[in-house]
Amino acid sequence: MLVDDAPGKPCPAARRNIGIVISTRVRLARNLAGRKFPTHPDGSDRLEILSDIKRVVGTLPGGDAFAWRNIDEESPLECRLLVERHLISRELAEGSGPRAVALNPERSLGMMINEEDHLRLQCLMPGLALHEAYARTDRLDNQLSERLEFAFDPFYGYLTSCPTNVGTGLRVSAMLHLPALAMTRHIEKVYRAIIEMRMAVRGFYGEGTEAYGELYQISNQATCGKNEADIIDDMDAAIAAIVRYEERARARLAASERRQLEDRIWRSWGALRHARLMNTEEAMRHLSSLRMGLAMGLFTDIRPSELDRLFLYSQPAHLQRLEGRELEPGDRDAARAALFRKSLGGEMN
Amino acid sequence: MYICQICKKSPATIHLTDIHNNVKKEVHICEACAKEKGFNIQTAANLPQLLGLAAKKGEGGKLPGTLPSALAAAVLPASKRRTEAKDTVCPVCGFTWKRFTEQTRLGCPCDYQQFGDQLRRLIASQLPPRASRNGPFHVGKTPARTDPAAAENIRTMRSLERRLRDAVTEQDYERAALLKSELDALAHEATGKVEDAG
Repeated sequence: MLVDDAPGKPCPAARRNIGIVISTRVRLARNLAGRKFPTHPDGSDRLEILSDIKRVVGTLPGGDAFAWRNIDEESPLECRLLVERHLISRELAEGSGPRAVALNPERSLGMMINEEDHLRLQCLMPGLALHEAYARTDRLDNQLSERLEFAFDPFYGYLTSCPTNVGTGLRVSAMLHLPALAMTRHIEKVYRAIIEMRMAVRGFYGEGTEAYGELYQISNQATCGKNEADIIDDMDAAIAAIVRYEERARARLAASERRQLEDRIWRSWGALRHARLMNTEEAMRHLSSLRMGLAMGLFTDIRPSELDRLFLYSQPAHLQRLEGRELEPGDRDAARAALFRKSLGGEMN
Repeated sequence: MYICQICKKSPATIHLTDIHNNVKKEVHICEACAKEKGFNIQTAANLPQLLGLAAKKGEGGKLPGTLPSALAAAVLPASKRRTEAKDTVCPVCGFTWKRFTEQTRLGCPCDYQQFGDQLRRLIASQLPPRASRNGPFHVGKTPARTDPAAAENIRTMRSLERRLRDAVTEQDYERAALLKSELDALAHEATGKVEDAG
């Protein structure tokens, strides 16, 4: 199993961490020279590409520690679990033909094969760790590029299936928890500032998704015209600025609307301990209140690790894994509410 | 990548900026919609704000009649002198530019050479503000198997080619001649040392 069954052991990106930056992700897009991209409809090269990459990874120092899974052979539920842990993309989960993921034992460094590009290297780390995450991905990229011929053009850079990734092929992103900016409606200004900085804002599961739980994913847009170090430094500076805005908004709320803030946190606590039905969106909103309360020292009745666990297991696939069966959406809402009641000491009947 | 504001499907390759009463407006549209809306590229090319578009037409489409043909031949490879009306087919993956605009993903790495002019315009529109529109677009790392010095040489040559085209389009033949000799010297130096990675 790629996803650990022990409920007490959260994924690396959700380790005890109640800061504003929840996690950091770095990914590099690479393709093999002279082969059709995986997005080409005939798909004839995919199996060969997968076995070539797998063979090469096996020859790397420590390469045999990677756990491989063929996504086309996994159940939809298992794929969904991997997506919920941000270990694979929705595109890989929902794609077609031979495709795979390889993950290191800590599940922090991985490779997706035959997603939109032949190879997507990625590193996921808790908190703000752009430089470290890049260094680890870069090291793997260098090792692979000694053994594989990557599609590269000195003028365009690394050639990718979508021209918006050409150049460095580098996409860096951070998951930020911004409840105070969302509550004070300043998030709109942050949106505009981020877009002006040529960066993108997305919801929890990436492109085209809602910002559930007041979680926002910020990433760079331009992958060329700048080198890797500048892309990372600019993202670091942008994240630092957003974190400062959120901290200021929290301080203002604590000073002027403390009662409302505390009311929101305790209402969420009440709902989580007593509700009979709860959908993912509502659950994430309440868990967001508690996370904010913990971070601001207004609430201490839950351990950060328990909050992370509930956050993960309130998501549909994790919830079904916990229940050991597939659930219809209505049953999921009941199971989710029961999970919260049981975990947080609420009434069971 | 901007998506065309009219059809909301194809990638926008025409980017217009209008500043009126200190209010900046940006319009991003694809070539098909521009044509459909009766956007006259030839007339528009005289307007200062459409200079980018004018340069584009001169470079990828029919060359201006005043351009000395010998110089044009030296500057533009045969494939680039084709009119844009004829969509070329990549011999490796069978993709056409039209097909790319429909599915917004390319078929193979060779497409970057095959659809060079269109892709360059598209990528240039995505560059960060301080980056050079003439390229090179890539200023980052080089794969372990590529010689960094050779890669740098190719980057410089492609940028010179681009500046040379601009000089020719602007009919600045003195600057064009200087750039051409610079380019020839570099090409001579590179011969036998490196094969174009594209």
